[in-house]
Amino acid sequence: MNTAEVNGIRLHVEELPPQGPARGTAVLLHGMAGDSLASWYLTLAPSLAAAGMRVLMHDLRGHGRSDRPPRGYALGHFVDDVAALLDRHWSVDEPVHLLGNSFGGTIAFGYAARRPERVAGIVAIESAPPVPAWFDRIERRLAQAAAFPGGGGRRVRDTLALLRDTPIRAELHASALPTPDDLAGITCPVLCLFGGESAVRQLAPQTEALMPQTRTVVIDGGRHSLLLEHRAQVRDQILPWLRDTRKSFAEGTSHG
Amino acid sequence: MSADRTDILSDIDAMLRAVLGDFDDGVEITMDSTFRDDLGLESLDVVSLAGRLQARYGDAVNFAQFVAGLDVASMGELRVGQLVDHIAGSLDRVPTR
Repeated sequence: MNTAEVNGIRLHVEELPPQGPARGTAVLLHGMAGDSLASWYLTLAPSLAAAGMRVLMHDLRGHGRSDRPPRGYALGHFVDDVAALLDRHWSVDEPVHLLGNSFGGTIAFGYAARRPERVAGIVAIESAPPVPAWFDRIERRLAQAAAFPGGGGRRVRDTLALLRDTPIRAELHASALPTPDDLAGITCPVLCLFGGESAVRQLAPQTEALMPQTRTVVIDGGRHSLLLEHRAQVRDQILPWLRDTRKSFAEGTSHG
Repeated sequence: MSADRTDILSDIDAMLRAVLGDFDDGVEITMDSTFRDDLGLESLDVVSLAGRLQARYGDAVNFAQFVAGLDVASMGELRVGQLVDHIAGSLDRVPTR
């Protein structure tokens, strides 16, 4: 297993090298509680590498094969890990594309609010920027998940252990969030994908108000597990968007 | 089954047992074994397997691309034999020197 030591913990990292001429770097961020980098590795990661991107993935702290520290689960901790991996482990010095699934998208916005000059574009699937309404919604979902009676496979048991044995719910809900001004400082292109059957799209107008450059696409019939269940449609939205985004970035034209 | 496929199955058997580690219950791994139901592989186990295949076969076998081309249902129903066939086919396409 490939690991990186950052911020006092070991994180499971994976990388797919670009095929053909290099066309930028994609950092793929998975979701909260029950998700792992496998959701990207086994779906879109190979297509992004085939399109010429260096593809970087990690299991979030507490998740997958990464360490599960006894505390340190506020938004800022997850953003710290992305920053440390990019600066010290992967040594990326160009602006990156951040692609996040669910809470992974929220980490992407959190990183971009802190380091807007380091981000070339954001793709958020079934996600929202760090705003109180979204963190309230996440807490309700985690409360439901923690009440699950148990049983099931290894992954279900592991998710329950995360929710019951660490203060992740409380710390996450008490996270210091970027201000609306911080979020408005994100001027890179933003693509938000939602499933037509998912309630998460109710947050889309707020995202568009904070970042007017946001392009919103709703995929008919999709639920919260859009990335896994509609991978072809998701890929067909993301790849052309990344191509166009790179073009406008290279030409130095305004984002919009 | 060809000698090539027998060798590949033997390689895969060793890789899967290494990936499963403590969760290996000693079940026989055959061409008909399904990744999820028979072997109990989770998605991160499949990622781990991909790394081992890369180390063993190099770029000739693009397992991540192979899996990404499957839909979700067939990912769960993936059989060891399909992987062996994919590897054998990929290796056949590598030009020999």
